[in-house]
Amino acid sequence: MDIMSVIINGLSIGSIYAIIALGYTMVYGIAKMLNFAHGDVIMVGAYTFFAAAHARNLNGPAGPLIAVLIAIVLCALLGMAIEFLAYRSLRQAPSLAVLITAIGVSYLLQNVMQTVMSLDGVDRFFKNVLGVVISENNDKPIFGADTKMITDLVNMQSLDIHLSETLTIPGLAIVTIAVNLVIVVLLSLFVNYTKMGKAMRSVSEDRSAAQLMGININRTITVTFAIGSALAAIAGILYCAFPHELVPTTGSIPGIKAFIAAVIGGIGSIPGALIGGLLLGFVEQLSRSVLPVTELTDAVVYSVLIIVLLFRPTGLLGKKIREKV
Amino acid sequence: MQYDHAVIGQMSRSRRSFSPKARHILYKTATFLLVTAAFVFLYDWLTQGPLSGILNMEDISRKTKGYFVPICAWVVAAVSLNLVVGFSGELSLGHAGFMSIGYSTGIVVYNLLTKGYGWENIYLSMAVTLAVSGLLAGIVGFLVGIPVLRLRGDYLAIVTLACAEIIKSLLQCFYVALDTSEGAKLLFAFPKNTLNGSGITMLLKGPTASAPIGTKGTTTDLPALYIISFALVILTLLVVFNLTDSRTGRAIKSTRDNRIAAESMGIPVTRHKMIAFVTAAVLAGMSGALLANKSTYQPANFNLDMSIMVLVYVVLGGLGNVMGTIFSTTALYILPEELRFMKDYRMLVYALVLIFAMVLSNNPVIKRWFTSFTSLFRRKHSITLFAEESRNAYAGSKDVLADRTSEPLVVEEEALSDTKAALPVLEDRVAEAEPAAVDAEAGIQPAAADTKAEDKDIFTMLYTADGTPLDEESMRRIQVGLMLYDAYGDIEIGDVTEMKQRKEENKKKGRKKDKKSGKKGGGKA
Repeated sequence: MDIMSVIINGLSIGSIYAIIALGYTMVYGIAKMLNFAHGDVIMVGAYTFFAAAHARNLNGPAGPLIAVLIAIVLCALLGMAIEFLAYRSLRQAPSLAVLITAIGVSYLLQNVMQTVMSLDGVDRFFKNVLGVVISENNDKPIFGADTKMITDLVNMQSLDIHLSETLTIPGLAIVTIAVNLVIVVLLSLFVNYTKMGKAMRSVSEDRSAAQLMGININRTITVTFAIGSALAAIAGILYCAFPHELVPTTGSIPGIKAFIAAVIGGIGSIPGALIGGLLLGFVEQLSRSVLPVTELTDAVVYSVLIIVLLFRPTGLLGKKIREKV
Repeated sequence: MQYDHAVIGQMSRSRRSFSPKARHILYKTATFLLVTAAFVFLYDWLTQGPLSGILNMEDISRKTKGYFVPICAWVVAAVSLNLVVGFSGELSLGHAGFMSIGYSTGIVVYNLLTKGYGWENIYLSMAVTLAVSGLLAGIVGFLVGIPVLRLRGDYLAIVTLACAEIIKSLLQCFYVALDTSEGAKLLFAFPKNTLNGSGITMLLKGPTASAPIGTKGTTTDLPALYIISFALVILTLLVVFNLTDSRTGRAIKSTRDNRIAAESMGIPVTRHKMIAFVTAAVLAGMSGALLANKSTYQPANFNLDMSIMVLVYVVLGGLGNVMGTIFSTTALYILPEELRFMKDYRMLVYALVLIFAMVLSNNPVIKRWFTSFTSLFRRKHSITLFAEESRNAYAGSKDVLADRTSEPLVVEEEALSDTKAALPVLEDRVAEAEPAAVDAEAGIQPAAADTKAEDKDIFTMLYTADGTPLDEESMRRIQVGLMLYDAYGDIEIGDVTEMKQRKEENKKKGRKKDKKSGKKGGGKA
């Protein structure tokens, strides 16, 4: 593997990590909690896209785009529901309790999805209750416990750029990087220039002071979860298009890696998430091409985190935490 | 001896059966007795001993026989994780990493001893195997602890996870073989398997399953393994109880309850967290080696899922509760094995257990309900604090109790929780300083003591003796806490809230009275 393809792959997988890391970093910065279930929202997003794209009613040319929108909206609602049901009653609880709850939510999402996909008659449920026929063109049911792929749904080969005879920039990589940049720019604008963004920054700075200034803490945190989960849906579709297999545990590995990217970049910082994600993606691709065994790639990726934290305990762009007595 | 605020408490106890200390000793003894009784019963049952004939339980399935050793291994793993999560208050998501170190080391050492050196005695070779596995896991735990314990909270959790993943991926590329052609020799290969040739036995085979341990020839010597597993559980209980009841253990608990308060009491926080972390790593290594008695595991199994499974055992058993951990581990191990429903939806049930345990135990309404429920079994505390001049607050607090008359003083919740965190350490300090203070009170001048020692009260002595005098505010706080502690054993923060409410009510009543008298006065004027 030559250096150009390492760079292209690193940038595109890094962009996906960055999109996920943005969700982590927003939630952590504002709700001050590690949303372990974020990775599984990715998986739910990918499954939703998978199911929606197979719906007969959406067979038109705009079908995949509508499916993406459905996934985004559903994941945003899911994020809000998780926040409301599991985390809201733990606002004052110690961080250990919140973290354990988040792990619980993560496992719950995985196992509920596992159960739903292996149940009989899910397509009948959609057909009879929602009036949506979900199946492949040859009427083969798409539900089942087996591994899914969404590569044929996200076909971007028409966007490929052929630089030379051996080197091609895949269309998917271009789309991924572009989507990532657009998200980072939009999110920065949102956080810096809108009223809700201002509320988010103030809640992140000092929750009780923000409350005294009349900011609705619960609403701010709910919006944060909605945005983070919507980003997770986009990342999930891109991640599975890359291609990765779609199984109920798909989300955990990119989830953990993106969290590590967010920590490397300095959790709570939007540019930090971008830098951390790209760095991690690049290191991963480089070590995959250099090392003799693929198992060692993870060891290198995780070592980056430990090395960064040893020298900068709050990440590359993180703020220094002052301790209050 | 003069005090600005001598604060004493009064409490009504509905039932007072045991002092906290006696209760703790009872708890420990009960844990040991239960474990021993369970072992004697099960051992007899599993080996078809004399009791099984009486109880008519001859027919034991092969499957049931296999439960004992893994349950013991998981109990050891869960109790040791409880040491980190429950006692030192740091969430470790990398426990499986230490277990995998013990697992791999165990396989290598046991096979080297039995096949390489021809050791016949299974007890001896297992003991050496467990010791070496624990030692190696402890060393790795120490190395991991250096970067990890510098971090706090969520960062710490994620780095332990990262470390476990690194250990996992390194072990997946690790190959070890035993060469017995000319003496016993171990051959290593990393990261690709380059070991081949005749006369070698593969011990660790990278990502695939490895050779089991605890075997005699080719068959597993189960009765011996039962005894070894039981011994390991007892060892774990001894280590954990001794550690948590020692001075070090109290220091560890104080770093958990309030890091800043503990630090200001002169406790080296990182060192104490390291002690808990390394002890847990050693025990986890041993439990990993015990799991290696069957070749059902491979390095990839020691992943986040396994760490979380152990965490579920700990959370369900109760953070800091050893006996609860043993019960929950046993129950959560057997249930999925025996119930078909549990087997299919095991992880679903675990997830719900985690969420509900946390949400319910942290919801104020439910917490209050639980407190009212458990208080039926516990002795009840309801403390009212009174401020009053007192001659001798510490030693004579009970005397002063008798003539509590003046106004109640509310201790800030924060102050009380600070003191509560510092209390375990204070106990030690008091034990050290007490003889000196008694001497001073009796007018005996200690050789190198301050000439004004007589004028100083015991608290000043305690803290100046350490070379770091405290400011008046913290002195007062600690006085309050120590007195309450001395008088009532443990203090519950909830009681202070209740007391605050009562004070507020008193205030309102007082105001009403004032208003009434004011009006009257006004009318007269």
